[in-house]
Amino acid sequence: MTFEKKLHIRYVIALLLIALVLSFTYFFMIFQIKHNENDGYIINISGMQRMLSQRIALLAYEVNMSDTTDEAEGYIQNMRKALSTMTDNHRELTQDASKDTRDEAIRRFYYVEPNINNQIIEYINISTAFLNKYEALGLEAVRNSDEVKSIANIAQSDLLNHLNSAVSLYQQENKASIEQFKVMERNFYILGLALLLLEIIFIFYPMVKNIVINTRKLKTANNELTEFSYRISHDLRAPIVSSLGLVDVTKMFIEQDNKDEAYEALDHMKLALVRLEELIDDVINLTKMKSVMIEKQDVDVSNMIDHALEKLSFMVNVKEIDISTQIEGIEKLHIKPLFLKQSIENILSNAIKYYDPKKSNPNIRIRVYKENNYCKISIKDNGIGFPKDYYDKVFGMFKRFHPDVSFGSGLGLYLVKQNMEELGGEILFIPHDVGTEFILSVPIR
Amino acid sequence: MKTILIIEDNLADQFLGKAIFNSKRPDVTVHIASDGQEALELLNEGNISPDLILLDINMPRMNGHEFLKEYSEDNKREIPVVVMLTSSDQEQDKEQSFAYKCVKEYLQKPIKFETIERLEQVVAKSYG
Repeated sequence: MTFEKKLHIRYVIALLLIALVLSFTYFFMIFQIKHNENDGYIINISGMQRMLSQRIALLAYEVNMSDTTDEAEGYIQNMRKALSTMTDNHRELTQDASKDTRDEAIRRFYYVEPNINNQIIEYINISTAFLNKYEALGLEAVRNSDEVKSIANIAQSDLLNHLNSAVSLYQQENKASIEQFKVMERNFYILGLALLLLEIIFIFYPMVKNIVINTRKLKTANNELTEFSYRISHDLRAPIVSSLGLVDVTKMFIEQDNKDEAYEALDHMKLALVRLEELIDDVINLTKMKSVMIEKQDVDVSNMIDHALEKLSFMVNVKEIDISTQIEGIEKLHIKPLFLKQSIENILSNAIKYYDPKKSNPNIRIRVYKENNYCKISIKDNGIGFPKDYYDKVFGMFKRFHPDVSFGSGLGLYLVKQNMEELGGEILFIPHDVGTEFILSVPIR
Repeated sequence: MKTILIIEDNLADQFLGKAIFNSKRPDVTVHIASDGQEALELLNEGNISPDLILLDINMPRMNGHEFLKEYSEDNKREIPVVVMLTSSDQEQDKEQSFAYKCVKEYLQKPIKFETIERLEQVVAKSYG
């Protein structure tokens, strides 16, 4: 998967998670606010019950103490209203206490112990009986009746305490619920921070790293390009300029009838032009390599080396050098052939070009072998080698290391390095006390 | 002008320089160094003391700029007149060269027969 695609997927996941956490927090908050509103209402009416229980008892007492029916009638009206409100409130409270969301302690308090549901119903029933009796038989029938005594007894007994306790229970439950809400909010906050941290680790950090690496690559590419245009303008001009000068001196030598010098001038001119041609070829190869799509093919490395040697057999020094090839059981490669072909030819032509004529047995040893699923092509010579100071610059653009052997575009090894990278392989430079070894490494499938 | 040193890596340009001097001023001894490094060795050995150095810029091992830096820092003797002879027409190369007092002229390749007269003028002017 490409880096961009990976990053894209991570981005989508991160945004979805953040959206999920935000939505969850929002809905949780709405739920909590509604819950609190309801709790407030319930606490309010359960407090009202406490007040109503005492008011009903007080009104029953006032009726009892009234001298006339007219006097009692006002109290009776108020008692009716209070009783009706208390009955409605009780219906709402018992419905609420039966809900699953209510605390078990509240349900127990209503229905099991001390079972205030029964106590309230009993109180409402006696009060209703008192009102009904007054309605049917008049004031004197209820005065000092059992109902009045019962109402006074119940109101002064545990009912008041129990109604107090019910209010406290509701308050406690509400407090616990708010605490729970705080914990949840804190968890969401931590979860949000954790998500941000993950985003930094999996998105922000790789992205910044990628930008830094790419910027560095771009800078290198830009420097290479600047160097390239500078050197190319110089290296293209130089042989032409030399040749122009050589034309003048050749003319002079011919006029002087100095054939030998004229020929030498012409040889120099030819060399300059050959060098120019080489440079142009390399530049074309370099641009071709970057633009042309090449198909992968089955490649026989042994054949490829034979063809390269055949192609290079025209080189002047080649007859002086003992060249041997050793192939150790390598299968066919499936690669873009042009890249390997160019690379082999380039390294071999360097080995031939920079042979050491002072040696009694100039030689080039080519060995092809398999190592860790890589096909290795080692090309080792006992030529003049590289000066030690230049080991790290071997694969740079426009590097020529041998002033005495002054030809070559200086692009060759740079081109080989690019080729091998294109093949997913690499080129290694192994310095030796005598000569040079290059190892081309190509992945097998 | 009795002795000159041409610092030049290109064999064709070395040949050209020698040929032109030999035909126009056969009395002048022409030494050749293939790069800055070789020139430094020649000069420091003390075997030659040229009146004029013709210096190329783009050379392997040690280029013209590096040579000027090394030579002007290193040498305790009188530095001869240096004339740049290069195929580079970059302003940057020109500026960098003229930063050294010993550089009196910046010429474009190739060296021509007429160039000799110009070089003689530069040398005459520099040595009074």
